[in-house]
Amino acid sequence: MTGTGSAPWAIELAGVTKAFDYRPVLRGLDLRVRTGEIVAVLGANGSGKSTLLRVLATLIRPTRGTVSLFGQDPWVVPDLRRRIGLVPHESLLYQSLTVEENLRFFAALYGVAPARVVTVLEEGDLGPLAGRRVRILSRGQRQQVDVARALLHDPSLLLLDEPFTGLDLDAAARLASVIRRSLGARTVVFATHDPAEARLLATGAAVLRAGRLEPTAPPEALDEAQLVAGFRGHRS
Amino acid sequence: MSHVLLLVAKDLRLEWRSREIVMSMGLVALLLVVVLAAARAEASLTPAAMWVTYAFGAAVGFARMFATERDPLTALLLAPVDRSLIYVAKVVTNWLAVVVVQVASLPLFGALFTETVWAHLPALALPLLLGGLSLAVVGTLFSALIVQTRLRDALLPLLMLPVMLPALIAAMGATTGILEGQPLAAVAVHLRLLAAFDMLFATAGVLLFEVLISE
Repeated sequence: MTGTGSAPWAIELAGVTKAFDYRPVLRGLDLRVRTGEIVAVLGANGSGKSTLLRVLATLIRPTRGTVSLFGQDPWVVPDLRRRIGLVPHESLLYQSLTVEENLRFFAALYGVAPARVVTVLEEGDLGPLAGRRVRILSRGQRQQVDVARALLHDPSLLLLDEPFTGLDLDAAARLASVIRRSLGARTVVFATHDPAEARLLATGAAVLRAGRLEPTAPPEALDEAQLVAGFRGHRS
Repeated sequence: MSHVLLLVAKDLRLEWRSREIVMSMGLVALLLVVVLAAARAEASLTPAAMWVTYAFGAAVGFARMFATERDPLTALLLAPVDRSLIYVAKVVTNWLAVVVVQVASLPLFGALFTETVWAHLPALALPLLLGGLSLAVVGTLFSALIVQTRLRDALLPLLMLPVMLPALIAAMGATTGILEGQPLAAVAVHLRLLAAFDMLFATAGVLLFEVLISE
């Protein structure tokens, strides 16, 4: 993840600080993620994971520091947003619309052919849910639809905020399978507080503690005790 | 333009299913018309009664407007859509909601206040449409400002109605003139003021919307 290499960088953060009401949530983050890498950002509640993802999604600007996506400044080249797919913790779907209506609406916004909606429904095993209103779906089903929405426009960068939180084991396994099948050459950053989830998908990991990134390593090399100590360190 | 139509179509579909905005506006409007008529149903008070009804109805209805958008708005902000078009689409939807309430309440004003409403219906359309647009451009702008606040239902009337005052005075002036049988030329100054107000706040909304909804 961080370090040097010939692969182009999908994400480059340099000295990124984000403060809300003068309270820093992210403190001078440096992060580089190679194209096609799947990175887990681990951290306890309140460590700044969601804020980091929102900065990467260009939804909020950092107070200080620079953000580069695919070698370009997303605030100078707003069209880069077209290359980002975001699945935040809360569902971004319209509750009163059906699954298919939601997907068709977002497909039209992105200028995606309607046929892609059918493909995404099939790939996400969402066919039986297509005609159901989002309001009546379970959390796991909604999460699957949200992932489908984020993948509609075939984004180069997929950002997932605690995608498995609140799901039972079956639903989490189904979602992980859908995400894995859709990866391709996509760069994925996903936030989680569960080291087991990190190992499920990620090829790289970073620990975020009190707004600062700890030294990183492949997730399988991360020692459970090290991660747990990171979480406790934040809470103490 | 196609994005605006797409967003409006989505808003109308959501409103058709929930009827949240039109129902809340309509109920407040109905209540106000009946109370005002019971207090003093005079022909000369019709314009004031109409615009008080529309203004308070809109303030209540618009507060609900972004309720369905709180989370999906993030997805809209990520989409390759000019963010000011989201504002434009909301203005169109809200304007249509105001027009529905205006059309639905006219028979009540005709029955309870003055029958001259029917005689001047075509001419009345102009101040009603322009004044309704004033409510929509200002209401949408302030709704965006307070979308993340918990007290938005209470805050919106407090923020919106003082700003609306010049437009409400102009709308009442135009409506009064028309109901008194004056030609449109005689109330043109009020209509021009309404049009200028709409242009000013629509421009402000287009320019400020992105800043207001960010973070």
